[in-house]
Amino acid sequence: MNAVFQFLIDALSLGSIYACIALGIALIFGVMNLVNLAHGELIMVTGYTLLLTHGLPLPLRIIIAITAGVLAGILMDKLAFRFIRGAKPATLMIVSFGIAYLLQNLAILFIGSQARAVALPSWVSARISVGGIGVSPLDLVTVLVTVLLLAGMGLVLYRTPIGRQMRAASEDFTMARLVGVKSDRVISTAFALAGFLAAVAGILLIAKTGTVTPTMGLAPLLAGVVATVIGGSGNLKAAVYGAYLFGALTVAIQAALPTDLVAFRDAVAFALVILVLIVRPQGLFIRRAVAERV
Amino acid sequence: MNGKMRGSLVVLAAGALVLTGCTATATNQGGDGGDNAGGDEIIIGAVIAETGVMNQYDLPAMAAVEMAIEDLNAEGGILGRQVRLIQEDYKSERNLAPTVAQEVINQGADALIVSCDYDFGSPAALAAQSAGLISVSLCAGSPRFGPIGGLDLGFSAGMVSQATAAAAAEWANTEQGWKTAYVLEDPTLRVDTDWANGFIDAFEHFAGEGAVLGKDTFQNSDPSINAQISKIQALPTPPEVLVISSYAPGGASALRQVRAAGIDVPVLLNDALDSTGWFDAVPDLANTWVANHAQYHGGDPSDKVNEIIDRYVEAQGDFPPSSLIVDGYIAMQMIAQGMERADSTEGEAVTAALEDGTPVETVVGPATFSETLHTAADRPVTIAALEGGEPTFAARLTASYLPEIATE
Repeated sequence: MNAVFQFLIDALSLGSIYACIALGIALIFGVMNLVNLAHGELIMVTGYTLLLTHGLPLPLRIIIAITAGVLAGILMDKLAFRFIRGAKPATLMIVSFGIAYLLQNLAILFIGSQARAVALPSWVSARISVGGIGVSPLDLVTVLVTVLLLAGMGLVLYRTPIGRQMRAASEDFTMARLVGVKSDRVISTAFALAGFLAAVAGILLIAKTGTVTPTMGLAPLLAGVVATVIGGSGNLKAAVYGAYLFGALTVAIQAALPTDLVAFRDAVAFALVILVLIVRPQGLFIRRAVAERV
Repeated sequence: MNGKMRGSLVVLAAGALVLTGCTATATNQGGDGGDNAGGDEIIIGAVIAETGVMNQYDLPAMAAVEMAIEDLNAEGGILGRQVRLIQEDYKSERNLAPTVAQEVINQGADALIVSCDYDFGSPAALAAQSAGLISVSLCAGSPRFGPIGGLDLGFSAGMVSQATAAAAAEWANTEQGWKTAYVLEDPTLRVDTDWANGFIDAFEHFAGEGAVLGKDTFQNSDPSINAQISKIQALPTPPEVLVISSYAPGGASALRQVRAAGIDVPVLLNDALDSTGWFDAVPDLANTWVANHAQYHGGDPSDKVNEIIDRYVEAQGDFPPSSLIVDGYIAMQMIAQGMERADSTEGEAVTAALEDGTPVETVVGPATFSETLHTAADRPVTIAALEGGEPTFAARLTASYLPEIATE
C-alpha cells in the first residue's frame, strides 16, 4: 500500500513540473501553430537569473527570476517571431530552434559551459517521512503551485476579455482579426504566459536539482513536447493530462522494470509514445476528430 | 487536424534530431604559420576546446601542459631540442577537429595533444595517426582511447575507468570496512557505465558475492530521481556505502536529492564528478568521497603535484576546478619519455617505446601502457574527502585487482 502512495506522490510531483512546461508549449502552439523549441531556454534564462541573483533574499530572487522568464518570453516574440507572422509551421519551428541555439551559446559565452550550482536553503529540498512514505515539502509545493496555476490559467482563458480573444485567435486567426482582435497583443500575452509557466517550472526544477547548465532546458522541453503530443496538440487540458500521464509512466517504468532493463526506461517510454501516435494520432485526450485547440 | 498534426509531427521529429546534436558547423580556419618539420625544435600541436562544452576540461589541463613544457625546456628540452607549443581551438565541434588537426600538422607538429574525451578527442587523434604522429588525449578515461578504439598511435593521459573504480572499491572495503554497497549509475556516457560496472565487479571481488545490494540507473538530465530514492529507502537494510557514477550536473543533483531524502550513508563518487563547481548544489556536503586523479587543493603526497597546483593558483588566482589538471602535465611526460626512449619523434617508434612495458614516471606514480591498453590501468588513484566545500586528501592506491576490460 505504501508503495502505491509513494508511486502516486512521485508521479504527481514529476507530472506537475511537466504540466507547467507542456501547458506553455500548448498555449503557443494553440495561438500561433508554433512548436516553440526555444521554450526550454525560458527555463534556462530563469535558472541563470536565480544563479546570478545569489545573495539576495529568496523571495526577491524568485520574483526577479519569474520576471526574467516573462520578459524573455515577450522579447522572443518581439525580436523574432513578430517578423515572421503567418509563416509555415516548419519555418517558425526552425527559427525557434535558432533562438534556442543562440541563447544556449550566449550562456556558454558569458557564463561558461560547466554546470553551476545554485545555492538554495536546504529546507527547500528536504524530504520527510510520513507513515513510511517519503514526502518532500517541495513535492507538495510543486503539486499545489501547479494546480493553482492551472486553475488561474483556466480563469484567464475563460473569464477575461484577453482570454476570450486568445481562444478566438486559436480557433480561427484570420476571422478573429477581422472582428477586431488585436493579434499582436494576443500573441504577446501568450508568450508572456508561456514565459511565466516556464519560469515557475524552472524554479521548481532547480529547487530539486540545484544546478544550472546552458542546455538544462532540453530535457524538460522534450518531456513537455511529448506530453503535448500524447495528450493532444494545442488543447490545453489535454496537454496537462498528457503531462501527468507521461510523468506517471516514467516513474512507473523506473519502479517496475528489472534493474538490468531500467537503462531502457526512456526507450520503453518513447516506444509507448510512438504506439499512442499510431493508434490515436489526434492524442489520447481529444475526443472529437476536429477539436478546438484552446 | 489530422493532416496538420502529422505535419507538425514530422517537423517535431526533425527538430528532435537537430536538438540531439546533429548539427553541422562550417569550417572557417584560415592562415597557417610555415613549415617547421624537421627543424631544431619539437613542436607540440594542441587541438583542444578553448570554447564550447569541452573547454571546462581542456583549459585547466592545458595550463599544466604549458607548465610541463616550461619545465622540459628548463632541463634541456626533448632529445636536446627545445619544445614549442602551438594551440588551436576546435570549438568542441567533433566535425571541425580533423581540419584543425591538419592545420596544426601542417605547421610542423611532432605530436598532438587532443581533447579530454574519446568521442571529442579521437577525430584529431585519427588525423595525427594518418600523418604518422602520436597523439595524447588530455584525460580521456575510456580504454578505447588506443588500439581497441582504432587509435594505434593514440594514447590518453587519463586513467581507465574500470581501474579507477577498482581502486575505489578496494579502498571502500579494505580501508573503510564497508561491507555492502548500492550503485546509482548514469548510463548517459559510456565511461560512467564502465566505472559503475568496474566498481561492482571489484567490490564483489573484495567484499564477497552479494555485497552489492543493488544497482539502479538515472539519466543525467532527469529532473527527479524520486523513484530511485524510494527504491533505496525500501531496502531491508541500508547499504554501508552509496556509489554514484555520473557527471555534473546530473550526478550532483542526484546527490542533492539523496541527501534531501535523509539518506545519510557515506557516498562515493567517480572521477567524472570530481569538480568543485557543483559543491554548492548539495547543502552541508559531508560524508562524501570522490575517486580522482590527485589532490588539487594542496596537501598531495607528491611535492611536484603541489607545485603544479601552486603555479596554477598563482597564474589563475584560484584552485583548478578539478584534479584532471595533473593529466595535462602527465600528457607531456608521456610524450617526452616516449620520444627520449625511442630516440625519435616518429609516431610508430614512440608508440613502440611507450608500449614496451616500462612504466612512464608520472607526477603521481608509474603508469604502464601495453599493445592493447594506451590508457593507464595501474596509475595510482587518489581518494579525496569532500567536506566543508573542499576536497582533502584521504588516500592514494593502485588496485590489487583489475576487472576485465573488454577489448572488442
